[in-house]
Amino acid sequence: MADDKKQTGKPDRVRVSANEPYEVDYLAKKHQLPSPLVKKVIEQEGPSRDKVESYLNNMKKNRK
Amino acid sequence: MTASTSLPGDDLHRLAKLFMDSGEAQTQAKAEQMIRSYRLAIGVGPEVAHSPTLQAGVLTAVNTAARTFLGGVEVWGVEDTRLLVPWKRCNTLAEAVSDLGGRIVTAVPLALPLVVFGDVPRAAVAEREFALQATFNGWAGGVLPLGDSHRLREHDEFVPSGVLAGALGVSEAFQHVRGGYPLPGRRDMGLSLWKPDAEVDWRTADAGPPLEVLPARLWMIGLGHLGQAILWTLGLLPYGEPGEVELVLQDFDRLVTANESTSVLTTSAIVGQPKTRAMAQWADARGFKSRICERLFRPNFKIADDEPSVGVCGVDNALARAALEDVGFKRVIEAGLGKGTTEYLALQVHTFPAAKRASSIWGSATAGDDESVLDRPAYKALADAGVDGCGLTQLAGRTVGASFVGAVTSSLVVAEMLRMSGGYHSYEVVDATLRSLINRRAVPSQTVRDPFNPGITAVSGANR
Repeated sequence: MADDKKQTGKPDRVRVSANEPYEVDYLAKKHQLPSPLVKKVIEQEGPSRDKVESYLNNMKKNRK
Repeated sequence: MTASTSLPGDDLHRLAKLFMDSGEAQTQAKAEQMIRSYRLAIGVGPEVAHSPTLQAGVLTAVNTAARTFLGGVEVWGVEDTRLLVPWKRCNTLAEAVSDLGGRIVTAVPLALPLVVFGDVPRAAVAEREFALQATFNGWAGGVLPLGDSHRLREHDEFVPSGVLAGALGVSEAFQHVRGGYPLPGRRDMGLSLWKPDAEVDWRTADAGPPLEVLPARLWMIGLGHLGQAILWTLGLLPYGEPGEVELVLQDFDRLVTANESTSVLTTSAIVGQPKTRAMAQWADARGFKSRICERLFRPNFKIADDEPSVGVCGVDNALARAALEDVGFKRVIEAGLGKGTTEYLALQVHTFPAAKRASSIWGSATAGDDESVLDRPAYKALADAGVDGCGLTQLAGRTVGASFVGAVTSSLVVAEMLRMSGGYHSYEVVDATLRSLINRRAVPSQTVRDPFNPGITAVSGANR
């Protein structure tokens, strides 16, 4: 589900959305992985940022 | 096995064998004479100077044509062109063309079939029976009759499309000179490596995304016709740091003279060497890291955590193919070629995991009903000349093969690697024949596969 742009209070740092290109691109850049691959990880692992980051950290080991 | 062991057929050109097996040649000598009589011209326009993809096309065409048109491959228009794709220590396109067996000429020979890259002056190519334009845009590549209005934009660079277009040009030219089939030269032929589906028209296909990352860790099984074609295409990719590429090279065989006719990295200078060691030398020269494994591929080992987890297989051996999912690879890309006088133009690419396991596809494979060729005139002539039955049977059992088929297949295999590396879609099967590419079948993967990093590295800065 996409972020609710009306909720401008505290940033949502515990969740991540596969439907928000800027979030996908941010994680892709952070982990030096292709955006489509990061999007697949979010779709598989769900919106928990911790779970997604953990999966991406494991994947990153094959990045040269 | 030793280097000095020579078996019947070890020296026989695999397209000369086509003429023996089909009955087109009455003797082996006549078959070899036919292949030596074939000549091809390649025209190169000024656009090629700025396009790595077109240069990959020219080099693939020269490489495969030099193994097919033994009468000579004459290349026009490459003077002073800086080489934009890596090939040995060559600095210019002319050096690379010469190294690969092309002859640089100052005019396009009038009588020869012609494959053109870029724009060449109409006056220079004149009216001729067979003239094709090789073209590409992004992940799409192919050939059209020269002057056809559907030529692609040739804008978005993607080296495997050049390999595809160059090899298809040679394929069409060979089918034309061989005769007996009127369509080559009169039709367009190509596909989109982004979406090779039959219903996707390559001439209007989506260019596909630009390359961001390239595959860096691969276990190559089989280093003959297909394995070398895959290495050829891999080697032309724009690696920013080639030293980050790790290849395991597995084969148990040695190169023989016949490999020169099908295997695009084989020259007479390396005949007799183990395929692993010869290809390791090639990999080192390209700047890749390599390790070799000189044994048959069987499910009697497990790959370690620190070894490449993508298997790339190009062997003609059912036992090896059946075992592909049994040693711990997370992904497998497998390629195979057809056999016989018609099916030598056929190709298949599989990926695993898939709806069907490799063991179920090849586990119960038998030798099949291979075409019997011993009654063909060329074999009778050999028998009359004193070749014994055992030798004839061994010779008859050798496969027919053409280097351009492996090169086309390699573009599909490397495209699959590139889609995998980028996190994009995959195909479980691509099944095609160069006799009629339009009748191909591509089955998108529906199998649930965990997101996977196969080992990736960056594209060179100039190609981003």
